[in-house]
Amino acid sequence: MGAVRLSSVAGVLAALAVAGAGLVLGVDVKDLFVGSAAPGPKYITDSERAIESDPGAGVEHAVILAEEWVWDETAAKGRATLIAYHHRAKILDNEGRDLANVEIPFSIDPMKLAAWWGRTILPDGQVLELDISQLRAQTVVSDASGDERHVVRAALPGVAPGAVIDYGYRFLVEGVNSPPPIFIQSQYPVVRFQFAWTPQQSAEVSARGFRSSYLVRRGEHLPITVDSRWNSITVRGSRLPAVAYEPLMPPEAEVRANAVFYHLFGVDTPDEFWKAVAKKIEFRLSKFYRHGAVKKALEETGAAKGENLQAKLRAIYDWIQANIRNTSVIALRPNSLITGEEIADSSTASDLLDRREGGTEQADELFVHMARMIGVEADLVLVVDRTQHYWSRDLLSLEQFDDTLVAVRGPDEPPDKFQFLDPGSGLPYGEVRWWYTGVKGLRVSEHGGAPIVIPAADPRRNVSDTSVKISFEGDGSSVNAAWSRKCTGQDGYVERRRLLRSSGEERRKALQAMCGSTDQFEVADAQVGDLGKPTAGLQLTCAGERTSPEVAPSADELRLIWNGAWIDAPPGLEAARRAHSVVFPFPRADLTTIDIAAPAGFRADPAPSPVTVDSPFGSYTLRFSNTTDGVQIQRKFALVSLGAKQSDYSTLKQFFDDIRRADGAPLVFRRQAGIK
Amino acid sequence: MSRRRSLLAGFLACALLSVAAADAARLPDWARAIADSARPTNVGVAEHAERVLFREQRIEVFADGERRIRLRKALQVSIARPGVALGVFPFRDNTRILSSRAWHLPPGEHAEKAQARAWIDISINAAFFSDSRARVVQVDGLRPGSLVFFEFEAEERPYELSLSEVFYDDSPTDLARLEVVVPPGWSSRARWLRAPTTPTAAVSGASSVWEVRDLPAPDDAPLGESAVERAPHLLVDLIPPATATPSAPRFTDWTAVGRWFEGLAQGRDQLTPEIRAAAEAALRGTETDAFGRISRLARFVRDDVRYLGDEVGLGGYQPRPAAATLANRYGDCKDKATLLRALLSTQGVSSHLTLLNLTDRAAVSADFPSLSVFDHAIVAVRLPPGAAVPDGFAAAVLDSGELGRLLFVDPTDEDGAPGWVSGALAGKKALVLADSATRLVDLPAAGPEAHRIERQLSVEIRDDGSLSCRRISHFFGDPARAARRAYREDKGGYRLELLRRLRRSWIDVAMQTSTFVVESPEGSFVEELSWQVAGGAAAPVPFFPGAADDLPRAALGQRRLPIVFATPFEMRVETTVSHAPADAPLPEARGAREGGWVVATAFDRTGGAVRGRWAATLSQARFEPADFAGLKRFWAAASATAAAVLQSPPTSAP
Repeated sequence: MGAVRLSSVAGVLAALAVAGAGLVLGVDVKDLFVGSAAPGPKYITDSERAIESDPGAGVEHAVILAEEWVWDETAAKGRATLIAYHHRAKILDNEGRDLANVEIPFSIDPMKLAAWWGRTILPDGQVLELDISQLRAQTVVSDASGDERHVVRAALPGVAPGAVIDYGYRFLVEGVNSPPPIFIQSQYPVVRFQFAWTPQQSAEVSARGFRSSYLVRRGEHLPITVDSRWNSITVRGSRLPAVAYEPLMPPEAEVRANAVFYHLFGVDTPDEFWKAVAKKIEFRLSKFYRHGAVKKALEETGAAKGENLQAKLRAIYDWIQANIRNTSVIALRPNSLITGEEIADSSTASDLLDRREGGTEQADELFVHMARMIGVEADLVLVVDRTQHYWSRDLLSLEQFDDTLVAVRGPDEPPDKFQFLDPGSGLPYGEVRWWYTGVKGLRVSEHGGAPIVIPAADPRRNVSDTSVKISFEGDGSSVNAAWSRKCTGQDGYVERRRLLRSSGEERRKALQAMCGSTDQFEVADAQVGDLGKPTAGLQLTCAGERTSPEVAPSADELRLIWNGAWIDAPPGLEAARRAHSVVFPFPRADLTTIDIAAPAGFRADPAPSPVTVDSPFGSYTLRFSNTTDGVQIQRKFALVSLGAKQSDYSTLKQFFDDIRRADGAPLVFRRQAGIK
Repeated sequence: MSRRRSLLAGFLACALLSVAAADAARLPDWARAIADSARPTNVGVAEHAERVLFREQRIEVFADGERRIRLRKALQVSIARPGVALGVFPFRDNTRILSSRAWHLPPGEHAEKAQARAWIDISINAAFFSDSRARVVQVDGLRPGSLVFFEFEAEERPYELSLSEVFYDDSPTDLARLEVVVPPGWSSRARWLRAPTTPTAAVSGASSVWEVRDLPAPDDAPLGESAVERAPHLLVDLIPPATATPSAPRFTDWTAVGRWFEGLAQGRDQLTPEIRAAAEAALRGTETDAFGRISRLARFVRDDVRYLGDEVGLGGYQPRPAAATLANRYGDCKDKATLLRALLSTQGVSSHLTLLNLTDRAAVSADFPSLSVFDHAIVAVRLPPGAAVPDGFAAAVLDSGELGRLLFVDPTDEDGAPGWVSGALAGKKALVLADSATRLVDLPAAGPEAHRIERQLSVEIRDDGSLSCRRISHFFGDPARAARRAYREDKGGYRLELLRRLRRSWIDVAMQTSTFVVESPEGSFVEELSWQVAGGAAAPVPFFPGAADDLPRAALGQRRLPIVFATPFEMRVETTVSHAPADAPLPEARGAREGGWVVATAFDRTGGAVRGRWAATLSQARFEPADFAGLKRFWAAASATAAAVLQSPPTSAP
């Protein structure tokens, strides 16, 4: 099942694509003019006129003055859904003019719109109208069955900076069409937002236990209100800032205010909903797995010989890694999860074990069954890819989840002490793909569903250990570097999986990039260690030449910038202020030893003083020592945090700045008489 | 655009999943022959995810000029990722697809499977209004070693008789083939624009076949020509008998091509009171000199008419009326060019619509007239005989002979200033439409001085050891275009990028002010920054911080493709350090020069200040792999000289 993907337009279209978008004829015209989403004034108001570009305040190319939706499922006496839309915006510069390229994301005949208006109001008050006859349907996709989807496009005329555009439309679509998830915020500031949903309220629906609900997410600190009545739900927002896009920010769905509208059936609370989900999954799991087949496979694992519980679990884990080929093409970046329905429809455990291949989820389920058979409490955990979105407990939809993990707990462990395992991931026992960690998942058991945080790995498990040798060519006119790196845990995991799935050509290019090939560093050799061992870490061997020479202020002095592709430098955080929290992939530790041979005829200055930087986010040490032929540098960097709150940004920035300052300090070599 | 992509993806998934049901079927004979001779895939890591074993386009031309097209393609899968293969056939509204078929032969299986009945057509063009689509057929369930075959058949009513075939695929190709069959009495002639190393051609009766073998996998690299630009490209001229009256024209010379376009554009530049009023308004209060007026009107069309592509049917060639473009304030390249011509004519300035290929430098061949080779329109402005050309316009002026001196203006280039010809246009062949005087010309290609960055940096060493810095940069030509685009798209991001670059030299830099002039009267982009560096004087003070970073560069180590800079390039930096210690040693002046480049520094003292000058000029725009060593020396020399620092007074070494 795919995660809930928010898109104000594509989502709308997808919703209608499912339901069909046949227009209802012979409808009382008054049905078409309920709610708001009506045209704005045909002039620029004083407050609109006063809006000017202010990039520093997030007001740059345009401002959305109004975005209004009416989504009425009770139109035409419940036989149709009325959809109305109104958009009004002020254009501030040429880059904002594209807002005047209107696209109606519905597959409808433009001439059958019940209402359309589109106009440009110029700064001098002149109004340029776009007639409905100017709307053009453009085919997006058609297929062999004769089904065709199109969008309706139009270009508002005369648009210039300072102009206000105002357009909108109304139409009826046959049947009940639930609204899609929508974004409330935009890449532009929004002065007024409204989404008015009138859900279907027929006696039949009520009798079936349906009721309508909503969820507004990421609007906590914004002026967003919801007016929820027995027969309608209206979300309003005013003066919403533009969404800021920053490096290392949370996923867009977690920083951009959005709303989801849905029908509930048979449950009233999140607790009830997730309990029901858990029971359903448990029931289907038990139905799916044939005890006999799993028992036979369990014997093969050798778990019975394990000295303790951990050893037994490890035996099962290793057996699955070695014997069940992971056929999931999405193992690297999951985007689907087999739902309960699909589990019921898919093959049985016998089939899985006969074929010896299956998806990541099936590997997890097999592990759960085997672990339970040896007396371990083992449950599936539904998890989300936190690079895309987080799990929202209040959003009663299973579609949020992307994948599964396994939570195990020994009989003697405290009730809340679970260990998380990721069979089929290719990671060593006890490690979990990083994008599922640091956020909550849903543990499902026969007792119901419970939120549980999947902890991030200890940084000591995600280590890159790098040895570097730097030498000068001749008198220092060029610098050669050769290094090897061994990674453990999450460090290099994604890269390693990518290499495994690459062709020879792709692999060469990827290795060049991993060895730091840039316009200033020519990679001469890039090799990777054995990729065949499923749980082995990434091993990289690189060599190259730096093409940007070192600073040579005089013939007798040479300054070496010793960092380069062999250092995984902390991210550059340049902005003084930050709108969102900072998110890292995973805690990690980098150990780097650099041996530098002085250029011929030169000797290194005495070793600089060591540098130590400590912060709540990690630590850094840098030690220099003179060697017989040059200098040795030992650099240790540990990132212990998964990120930083917005309020802690300056501390984090200082930490990284201190490291970059230390990494950027050159080593000085001086020419020495008598040295060859 | 992102909205459209998402909904497309959704539809693709929905529609293609329905194709899964497969019917047992025999492979057609052509596919069977390929399957029988296909080599097994190698054990181990495959060099490419898939390989095209055979790709054939067969075009049968009928007496009325219409065509029947058949595309066959066979590919062998080495890595089944993500387990599907797509057969794609691009088409427009002048094409009717007759059939779409696909077959899958899994390795080691005897049963052939056909998945022939499901397809989708999707919109593929980025233009706002477009009729460009692609027929897509998907085959799934692929495994390493799978053989997949596609076949499409279609009828097309072309806009001209000549054919253009680029031998290009996303994967390495064993054999690519074009077959053209002409009706009785017709003949053909062909010309390779870019010939493969071993092209073959065979003529048998009405059929002509061209074959190319062993095409490598496409490889795009920064600072280089695209893979399509390097692919073999064949033009075929179809010659009907004198008595034939095909529906599509054949162009015997460039004048005929010009007449066809001019016929479409006739009357589209007609003057209206609104156009006259717009010209007057645009010129109000400005200088009266001819170049100033041309520049003003060009800027008006460039800035006040937004770009909006309309490529539906003949609309892909025919400009909208200038009056409509003006009223709508939108249009595409040919619309904007037509409006500019109309505006210029209000001032008695005559001009010509000019056509060229924006994406492929070699697409236009002097001895092979065709209309399909063009994808962009600009304006050639006729300059009065004897008029002196100001410095700011010289780079865009060409003496064309019969048409006199022409000033080329691209009103679609939102970031280019009138007076410069961008790197995307410079040196390309363009067709100036001038009735019987229509001619192909080579657009002006200016030297490095037209595409330069001039920078003045002043650094004051303060008593407390901090540095107070002020820097003004003027960007001209293509560097100005790039800076303008980046600044306009994201002003905050542009400032942060400047800060990031400064922090390479000083981690503790504190930006004080940053102001920008997007387009100065002389057409430059101006950037003025001031910043302070606490304790900056404790370390050597860089004379030319970040200068070498502004040079376009690319990794050369594994590169097999030539480096092609958009234009020649020049950068000059002049730095003044005030309150420098009187005994601080000056760096030595250094310089290096080779055939296509020169780098030099110079330093002196004036009063209490130390002054440094750095200049790097790249006059050669193309470097073949054999020339990489010289290019590398240029970059190294530029970096080495730009790394000059003002040292503290010497101390005794330990």
